[in-house]
Amino acid sequence: MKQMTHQEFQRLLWESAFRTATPLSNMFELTPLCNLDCRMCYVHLQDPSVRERMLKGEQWISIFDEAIRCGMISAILTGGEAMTHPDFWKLYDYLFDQGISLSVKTNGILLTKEAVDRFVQYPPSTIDVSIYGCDRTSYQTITGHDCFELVDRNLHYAKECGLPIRLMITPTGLLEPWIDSVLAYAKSFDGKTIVNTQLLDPQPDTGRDRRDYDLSPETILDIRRRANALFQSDQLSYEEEGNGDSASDWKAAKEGLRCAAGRSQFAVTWDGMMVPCITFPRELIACSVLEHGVKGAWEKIHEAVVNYVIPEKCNTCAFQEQCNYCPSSHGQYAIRNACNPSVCAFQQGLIVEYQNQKRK
Amino acid sequence: MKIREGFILRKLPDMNLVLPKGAMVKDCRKAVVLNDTAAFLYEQLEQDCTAEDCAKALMREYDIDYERACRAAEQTIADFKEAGLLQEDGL
Repeated sequence: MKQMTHQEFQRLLWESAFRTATPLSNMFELTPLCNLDCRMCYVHLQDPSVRERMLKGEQWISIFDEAIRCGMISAILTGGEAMTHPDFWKLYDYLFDQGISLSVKTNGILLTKEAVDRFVQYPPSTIDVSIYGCDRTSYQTITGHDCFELVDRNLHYAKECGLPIRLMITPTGLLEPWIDSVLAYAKSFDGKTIVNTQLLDPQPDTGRDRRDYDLSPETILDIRRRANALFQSDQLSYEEEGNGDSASDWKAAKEGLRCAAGRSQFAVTWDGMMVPCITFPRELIACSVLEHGVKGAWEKIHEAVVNYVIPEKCNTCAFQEQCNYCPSSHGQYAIRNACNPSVCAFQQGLIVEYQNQKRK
Repeated sequence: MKIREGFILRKLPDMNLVLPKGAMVKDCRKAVVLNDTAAFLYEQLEQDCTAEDCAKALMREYDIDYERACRAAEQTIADFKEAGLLQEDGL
């Protein structure tokens, strides 16, 4: 019997999924509702009808069953705040009993002692906790709630119990005054930290305006430099460089979007729409799983991703070899099949930094 | 002999995986990759059966002789034991 490392296994798995268009790892946005009120949240909806329109536990289970038949072996439960879904634990246990490797994204408010003890018994592969500050003032400013001490207490208990916690930080204009302290706070946990430097256009109906919290490409690059200087490289990663986006995957793609989204993973939104990834503009590619089923929706999503025509401008761009056009990042511009100059400036800055690092 | 509780066989388009599930995840954080023959035998062993039953099932499925089927079954069962997939009383 041949043994292989986790890394070799992951590579084998993702390459196989890419080759066979198998949706291996999928994200489920259980709810757009949240127990915080972050001013930069791209999904947070407050319309009371949302509660009625949200998929119920039984509907999610039927979607999970179909996804498993299509080849899913890992899943991410997200929101809004995923743990506020009334059937969260029922869904978690169901997937766990099917052998699905689970990750949960949460803001840590509901990571109570009871929840931690349950996770210890049935351990997820990761729990990503978004942190929004480093003290009561920053939390109050960003989230509208005085909950820093609660989250801090929950995080310490979860860490003591050995849960695979990763802290997630999304730098925004709102967080900028505290960003160094937040990075230092994350480092004090001596675990993995993920920084998400890809700001997104908020969805319609959230009442949010990206201009209220946007950062310039130079500022984002500077924050990344500061984060890189603070953390050891194995403790820090960036959200936008996630699973399945390995070079071998997207370089193998001759046409269409060059990323795992729609090729080996999908996301289902709180109201049952399948999209290539959770932040993908619905106006471009989306298909109802309630209408078409998971398999039918996946076939349509995959076909749309494979045949996606990137903006003309990308074909003559000096960075075309290294850049991976991402409609989620380009947001409203992507809907017009264009590039957001600010996103291009950030990506180009990033590519130059990587090249400089390589040279060193 | 029988496959232990707490594992599940997942057949992907070009890969067969055995994954831990439920309470087993806490103790076993590994996946086992099986070829098609091993996956076939895994399915046989989801019900209680002997090495001879496995060999006979292989003969029927793959149209091979008894000796070859016995060798394949014994080797695969040894691999399953090594990977901790078989119930203790089957060891």
